[in-house]
Amino acid sequence: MTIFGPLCGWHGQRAFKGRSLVATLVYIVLIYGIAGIVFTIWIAQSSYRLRPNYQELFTILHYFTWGAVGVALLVITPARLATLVGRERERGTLDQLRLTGLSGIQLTNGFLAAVLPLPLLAFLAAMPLIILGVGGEPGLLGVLRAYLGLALLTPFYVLFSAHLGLSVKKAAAATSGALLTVIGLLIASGVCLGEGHEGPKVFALFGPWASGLSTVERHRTYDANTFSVWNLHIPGEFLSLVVLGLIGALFYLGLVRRLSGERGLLLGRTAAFGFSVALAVALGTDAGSVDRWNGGWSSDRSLAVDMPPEVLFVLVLVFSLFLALEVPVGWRDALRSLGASGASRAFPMHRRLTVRRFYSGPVVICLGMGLIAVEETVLQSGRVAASGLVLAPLVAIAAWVFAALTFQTIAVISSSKPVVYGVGGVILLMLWFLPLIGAAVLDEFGPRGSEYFPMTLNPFAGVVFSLDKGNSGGVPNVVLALMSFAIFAGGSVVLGQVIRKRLAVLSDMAAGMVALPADAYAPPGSLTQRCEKGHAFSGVWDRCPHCAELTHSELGAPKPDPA
Amino acid sequence: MLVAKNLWRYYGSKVALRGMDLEVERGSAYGFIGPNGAGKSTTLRILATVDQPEAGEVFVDGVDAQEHQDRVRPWLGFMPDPFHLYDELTVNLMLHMFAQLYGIPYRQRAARVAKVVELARIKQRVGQKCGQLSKGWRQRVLLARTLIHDPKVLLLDEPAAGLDPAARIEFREIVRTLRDMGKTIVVSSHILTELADFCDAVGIVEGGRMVVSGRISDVLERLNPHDRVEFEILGDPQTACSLLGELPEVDAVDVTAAAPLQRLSATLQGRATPELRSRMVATLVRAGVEVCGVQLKREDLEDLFLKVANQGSTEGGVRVETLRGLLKGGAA
Repeated sequence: MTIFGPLCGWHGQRAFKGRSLVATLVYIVLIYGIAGIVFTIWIAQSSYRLRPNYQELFTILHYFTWGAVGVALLVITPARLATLVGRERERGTLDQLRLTGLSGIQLTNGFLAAVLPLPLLAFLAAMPLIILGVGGEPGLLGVLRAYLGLALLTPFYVLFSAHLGLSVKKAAAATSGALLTVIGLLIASGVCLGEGHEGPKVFALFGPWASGLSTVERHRTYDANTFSVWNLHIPGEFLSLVVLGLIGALFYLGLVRRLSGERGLLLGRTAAFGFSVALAVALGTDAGSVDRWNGGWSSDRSLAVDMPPEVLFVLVLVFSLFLALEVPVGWRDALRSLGASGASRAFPMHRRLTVRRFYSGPVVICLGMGLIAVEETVLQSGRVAASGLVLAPLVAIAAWVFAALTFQTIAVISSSKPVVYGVGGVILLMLWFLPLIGAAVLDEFGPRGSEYFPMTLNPFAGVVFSLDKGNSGGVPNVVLALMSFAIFAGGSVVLGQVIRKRLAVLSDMAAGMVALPADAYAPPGSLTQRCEKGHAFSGVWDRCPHCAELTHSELGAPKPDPA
Repeated sequence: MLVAKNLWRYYGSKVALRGMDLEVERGSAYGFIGPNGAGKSTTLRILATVDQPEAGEVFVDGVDAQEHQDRVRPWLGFMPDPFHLYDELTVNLMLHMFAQLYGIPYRQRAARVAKVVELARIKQRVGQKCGQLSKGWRQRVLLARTLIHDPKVLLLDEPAAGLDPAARIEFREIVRTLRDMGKTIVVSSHILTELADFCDAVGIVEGGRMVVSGRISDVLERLNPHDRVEFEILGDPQTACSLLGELPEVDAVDVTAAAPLQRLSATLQGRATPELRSRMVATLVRAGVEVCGVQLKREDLEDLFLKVANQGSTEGGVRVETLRGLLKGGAA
């Protein structure tokens, strides 16, 4: 089976026809028009000089062209793809395309073929201006890095927009959503790169600015787009390649699955997991030592995350918690999977309630915190307690499992997703953050040191306690961290027991269902009776409604007239 | 040709299908009838493989449709409701596009498009953009698109919805032609008369479950095994009631209208043959009852369907049981 398919061919042919082509031609004319105006102004301004500085002109042209190509690839293309996918979904023609026998990968590539040719055409058309840019200040390396940055970001932006197009009901909402997301990312990444920011500079990876500006004023800012891992100084594009490449690949796989008709959340479990892993990797590659290398102004623009280790650990936990939302399996699926155990067709594994569902969070926590721990051990020895490097991931894993089990417990009781996520979220927020208020009250009115005990109910505080060598109110922080771990581990065991009991009830129901393990005559919660043949049925029936011979009154039908 | 077993489908907490069963013979036209929200469209979408059931199986020509979607899809032609066309494309271009997507070789595409244009009777509209067409024409264009890959099975979801009477008749003609060509057709509708004309078999759905299915004559027989005979008489109805009630073939007698013209309704245990009717009249006349009129009352499929569809609460389960009760009662 070809991975391109006829939709690629169709869109490929159509891309160079109609209004899209006209718009592209106008775009190209505009680029050259503006370039011509810039040239004219520059000539006019530099006419008084004896030797015009062409490097200045080429630098201006490089940035202008790079910006224009960037807008086409990172703003227009994602918006067009979001519109296209959203429109196909909105009007139902996506189903018609699926019916033609096109696979998910062919549909994905077909949609990409609809939006990518024109920006590529614009890019090729702008090639003379790009080549002129080599003569400017950035030089060949600067130009290459600038466009490599765009090339690495484009799949991320474009595929995210396609997911957005599949996730909203209206095509217009998909377009505006894609535009807002893209613009938000561009602004946020620019802000994160700015001078003097101590914030998470790693987010600069999600914008083109770092690579675009990487070689500006080389004598001062050679490391503007450089990150360091354990004192190795590496161009930012390598980190982009790993992080954005991984995210892009998983977004692509998620899109293939969703376009082939498989149901899933916003990004699907695979993509969500990949996204979290990528973030964990990004956070884990903190050097915190750039200052020692080049010093001065340049370090402010480094991509390295310059944050205390406690904050990094907490951030890993925060990101991993989003994976807990992907865990719960509804009681209906749980019931069906239990009932399908002996059937010829196995119930889909991704909808079964298995222990495997609970692996993703611990993996991400171990990866992210592990990387930070290695770096802390090798480069920053002494900043955090050695025991904390082990204890913090344990507390985080226990808290993550507790959160996932909270959602799962509600999911085996309620069939409503808003209830599962809403109630689960509120419960976790209350359990985790209300004790902080209690701690504040105890701090004011209670005995000394007592305020730290309620804080152990908060997993973020637990992680921080783990990493801190000192005491809190006379109690060693390690003890507080162990308390935190014990609380979440114990809570998880209790929730696990609740789920097990509920599964036992569902299993009993599934065993008695002859038609299918589903609510044939009432929801499973109300199936309180069982007939001789083993059918489960609701208490509203006098006799088993699954059995064939039923009287009028039993079925609730009007009784025949006695006359 | 087409078999669906025990389909279950949920939309959130709403149960759309509750163990739907369906069997359609090769080359037959099958009418899929039910009120709005009964689960017709969901079933058709699952049959067409554009939706997946939570449980249950679908077989097309013996092939598991969920397991082997790639094999089955070329055999299926699905006309959804509501539907959309590529409004920015001309009819001709859209048909060529789908011919290409279905993998019809380039050399055969023009002939194939011409064939479906003729079948769907849209020759005069091929140059127009889909967005400029009226509902009736769009419906036909969609049918042409559905036929472009020459499917064995046609799944038509409310194909005549929103059409004026003339367009309905013409559409019916087209579907009849397709049936005569040997295609297996499943047509859903909530208008029974629309289907009774050209369907070999029907299935009535209610509350996400198949209530009754089979050849039209069999379904009628099953749903309505008891004939009723209505008499219009003058005078005291009690004598007539007791006389008719004594006949072994009569199950019950009701007085349905009062003086001056009394109307009696005799429910029989079986069919009201001409001999039985004659005997009933003779019995009354011999006893001095003045018989003004006799009428055989036999409910047709539509009467029964509408009666069931309109009664009961809005909860699917209750209505289903009502209809099941009616069927059980009829069969008893």
